[in-house]
Amino acid sequence: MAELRYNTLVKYIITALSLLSIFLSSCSTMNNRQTVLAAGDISADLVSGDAEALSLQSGTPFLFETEILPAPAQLDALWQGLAASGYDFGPSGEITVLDPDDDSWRRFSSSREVEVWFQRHAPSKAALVVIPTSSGRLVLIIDRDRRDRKPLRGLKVEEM
Amino acid sequence: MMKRKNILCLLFLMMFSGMLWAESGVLSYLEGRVTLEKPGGPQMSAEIGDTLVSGDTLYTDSKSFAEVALTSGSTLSIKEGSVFNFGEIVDSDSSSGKRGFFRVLLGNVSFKFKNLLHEPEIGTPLSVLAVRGTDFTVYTSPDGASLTVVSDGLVEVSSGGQTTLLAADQGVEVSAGLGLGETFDARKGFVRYDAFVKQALSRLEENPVLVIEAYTEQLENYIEEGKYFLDSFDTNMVELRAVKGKVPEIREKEGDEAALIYIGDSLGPLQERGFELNGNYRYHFISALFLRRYVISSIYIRMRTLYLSEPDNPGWLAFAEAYGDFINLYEQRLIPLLEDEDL
Repeated sequence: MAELRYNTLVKYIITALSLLSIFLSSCSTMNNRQTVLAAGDISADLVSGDAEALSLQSGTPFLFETEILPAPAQLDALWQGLAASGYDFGPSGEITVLDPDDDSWRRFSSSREVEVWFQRHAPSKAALVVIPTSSGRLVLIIDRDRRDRKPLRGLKVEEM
Repeated sequence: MMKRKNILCLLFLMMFSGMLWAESGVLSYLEGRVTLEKPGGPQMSAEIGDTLVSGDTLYTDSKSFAEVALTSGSTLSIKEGSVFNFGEIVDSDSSSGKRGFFRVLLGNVSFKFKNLLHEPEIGTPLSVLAVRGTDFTVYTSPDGASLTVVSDGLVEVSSGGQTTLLAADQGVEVSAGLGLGETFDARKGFVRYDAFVKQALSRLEENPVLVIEAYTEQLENYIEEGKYFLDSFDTNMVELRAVKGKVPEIREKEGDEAALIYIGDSLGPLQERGFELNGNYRYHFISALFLRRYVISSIYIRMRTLYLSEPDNPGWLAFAEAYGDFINLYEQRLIPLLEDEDL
């Protein structure tokens, strides 16, 4: 009888811990609205050309279109280059948040390297965020895990 | 039976114990943010006391700095915005069978060697440096061009079949498409890395197609030479298996001693050759991978951001075509020769 009570107690504890874990996990994950806000902040930094702020938010190895950038110095060069590019990064429409699927890597490149990058380096809570601009679209890879201090992991500029 | 196996294992270990030696280093000082990447592993924040072994890569952020103390007593100073790879190459002249091979893939690294017997070679995307002296600095710009400045001793710089010997207070530049430049007077404190980078990047912008085509040719060479060593390695493996298959027969017919002699005479040299060939083909394939990862990607950043607002600009279109040729060669011929852990 005592053993039965003990087993029931253990089951309750396990269930409670699982629920707590799910709760905590959901708290640490940005929902779509929060992801759009985070993407809006990144977009604002791009518009203002704040290369330093963008470098601080970017994790390596970073995926820039077809290229994998492992070095922080390359990221500095990327953000400085984009800031000086004269491209209009201002959003021209609604920002969309997409869950990555097995084929998301193809949006960046058809190469085996990019496929492996998505398998090994894309965060488990990654989102693809699409920001329309006046001359095309920006596609960002953002980690929705709030604890990640460098949530920006990839960028592609798509033309119309 | 077990005893026989132990004797054979011991013999193999004795034969190749020298090859197990490897140059290593310790991160003795750092400032700012420095990242360490082990082969196939994630990037991690580096800390003072971290050990560097073959295959490791160090990245320094802006306003960051790292110093590495080598087991041979030498020191390396890795300045901000650099990428430094700690590697080895096969060297049959060395008692260990290996020699340190350090790559300055981006940025600025100063070397101070104490023990002339253990001097490694230094590689940049376009040149190889044989060190005959003690104190020098290597600068590598994002387009892969390099500048070597010697403060003390001698350094031999080779690129594309040409070689020059630098003495103290001399420097030389190597760039894609132009090769090894003229030696010039240079003092360490008077050479400005930012001015060198600015000049290299403006040369890239003037003729990006020439630069990319030079790298495409270099990529092709890496693939061809690496493939040659890989094919030789495969042939060697076939021979090795055939020779190995005869050991039990010799042991049975002629005894342990005869088997050991046979191993020493026939198997040993083949194993040693296999080791060398493996090191050689991996060196070429990894060099090709680094070419893409640190040079071509940096060139792509430069050109893509330069023409982002003008996608129809003829300058961009010409670059994009040459870049496409490089990528096609890389994807079709190099990627199948790499392992996923490399990528």
